[in-house]
Amino acid sequence: MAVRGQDIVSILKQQIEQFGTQVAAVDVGTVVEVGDSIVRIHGLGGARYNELLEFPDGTMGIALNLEEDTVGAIVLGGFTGIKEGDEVKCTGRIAEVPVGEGLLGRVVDALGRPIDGRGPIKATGSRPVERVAPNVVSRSPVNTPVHTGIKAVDSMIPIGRGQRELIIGDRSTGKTVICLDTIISQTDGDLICIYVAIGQKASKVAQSVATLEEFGAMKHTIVVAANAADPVALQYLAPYAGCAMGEEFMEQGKDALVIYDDLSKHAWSYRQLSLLLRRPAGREAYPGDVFYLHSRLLERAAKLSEEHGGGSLTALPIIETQAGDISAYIPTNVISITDGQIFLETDLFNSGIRPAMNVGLSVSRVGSAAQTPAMKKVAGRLRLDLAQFRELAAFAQFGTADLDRTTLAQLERGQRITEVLKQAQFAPFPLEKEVSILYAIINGFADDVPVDRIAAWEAGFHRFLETNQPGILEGIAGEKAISEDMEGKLRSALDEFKKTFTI
Amino acid sequence: MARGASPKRYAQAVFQMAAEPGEQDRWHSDLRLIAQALTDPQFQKILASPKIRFEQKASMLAKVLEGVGPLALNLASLLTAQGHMGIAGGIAEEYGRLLDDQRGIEHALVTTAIPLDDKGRDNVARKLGELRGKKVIVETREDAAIIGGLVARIGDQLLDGSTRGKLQAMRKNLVGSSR
Repeated sequence: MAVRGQDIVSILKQQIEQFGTQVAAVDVGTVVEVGDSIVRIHGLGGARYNELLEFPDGTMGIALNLEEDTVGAIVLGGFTGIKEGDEVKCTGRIAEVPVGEGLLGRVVDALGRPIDGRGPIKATGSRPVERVAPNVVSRSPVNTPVHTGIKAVDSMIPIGRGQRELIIGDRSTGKTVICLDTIISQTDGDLICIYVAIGQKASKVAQSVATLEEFGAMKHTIVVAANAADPVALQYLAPYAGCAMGEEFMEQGKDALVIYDDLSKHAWSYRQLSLLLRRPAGREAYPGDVFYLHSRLLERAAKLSEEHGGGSLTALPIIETQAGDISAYIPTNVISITDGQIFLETDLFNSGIRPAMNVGLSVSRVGSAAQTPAMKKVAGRLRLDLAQFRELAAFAQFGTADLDRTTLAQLERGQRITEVLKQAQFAPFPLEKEVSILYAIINGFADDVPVDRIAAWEAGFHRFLETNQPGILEGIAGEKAISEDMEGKLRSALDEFKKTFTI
Repeated sequence: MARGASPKRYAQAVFQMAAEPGEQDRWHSDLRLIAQALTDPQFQKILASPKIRFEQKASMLAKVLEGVGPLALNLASLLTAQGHMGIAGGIAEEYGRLLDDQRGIEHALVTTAIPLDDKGRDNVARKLGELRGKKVIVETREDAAIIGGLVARIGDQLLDGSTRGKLQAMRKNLVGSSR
């Protein structure tokens, strides 16, 4: 936008010269009914599906139902300024959002308008919010990991760039925290994050933004917020807007991560719109296309092939379950669309296992292909040990007195692994630290440490490595693998550390 | 979604039955008569009453609509039998639209800031006719709020050549992008 006086004068001159040269016929209609974010318009015979409509007070709408004489539309904004008899114009455009680097660090609404009070957004362009997902030819298999900084996730449920991994669980089981941890963990990385908050309390969004700012993670993050008080049409649109912003980076060959928090509320907002538009209701009163609602959104996450720039868009949708029921309608839909899920449980959360991941029910269907060799080396054994432990743990409830030594050892090992996989919130680990501690645990270096001292032992070990053996951490971080030479060094460092650590 | 009877369908059926131009005009005036009769509140109450036998209603209709064609009378009876008296007006309106469509006539509502004289009106009608490729019948209205120029509304289409519209567009161009 022009700022200098000269520019304004020249723009005005141009405007005055062109004043009134073009008159184009536009399709118009008349508002016959308005309410609850929905408008019914008579006429508008030329309106197309998803087209933007303009109301006299400047508010925009989207045509969603094209019927014989009327058009059903949703209002993007307040509908109190619209009244019966108002003239509605077609615009010939579809909903667009600004995209580009200028959005980084900003909090915007579902139409890309800033809501953080930091002035206008310097966008490099705009993109339609709805788009068909990349086709098969332009995709390549997932081959690069997303480092979440959470030991349990990176080792057992690895996420690859371009993957869609669902995070599912009851309220307050730490779903959002996993996502925020992942964003914070990218502080020195190359992954651009987009956090889409749908139908959440404004206070909670403000809290999340404050957390991200505190850890310096906002500079690579865009927050798209359609809060609970915002019009339901904006809540419906928000994930598509966030996705469009991510796609821009993906097509530039960069890697982006988009978090939809959460899709349950998104389905609710779409159910509200559909019922008000008088579309037929199906199971649980959701409309018939509620599956397509999420599948078309999540399909837009992709890893592009080298010919198409090699960029990627990873999606982390969140679903909130009611009383742990993952077989409800929306959860099963989204589970079947995504490439795996991280299942969080209230019971685990309450018993102090945080992140409260149910390792048995959580899977990642494509991510293991993208794991670094270093992580692969420890992850296989870890998964096996933990699976055996879970099997035995059921027996062990009735007392461990008459168990044989192997079983007892497996139980002891399992308890220590569980302890190591616990992690404080907003404290993501770099890859080398994750690998080194997991290596120590699965190779029995901590078997003689009491379970309640494991956390201290872990912290001590990392401090020891940082101060005494920084070469090992740097080596693993650089090579992303544990060579035989490195393994030897790690073992001797562990032996040395065990001598200094007093239990 | 459940809907009432569509006047559009009835109008289309009538339109297909009346092929000759003379017949078409006859139907047009008949439909307007029927609409007048069936939408009369008092008469409608009688026609809707379940206490009165249909034969009685039919003979009443025949008396009221004396002079209309036999097919048109049938239509009136059919609408009465089905309880769709209310859409008679819609049928007449829709039929008129179909007729105009076939004859290449369009109606335009032209709004101007100052009153148009006959010459000006003819001028506007001719210009709009050229634009649409049809004969345009112009109805005028005055509204000082548009400042200058004219706004023409033809069916669902709006041609905004008013000074107000241009000023609004200009304001959007200059201010809109920086908001």
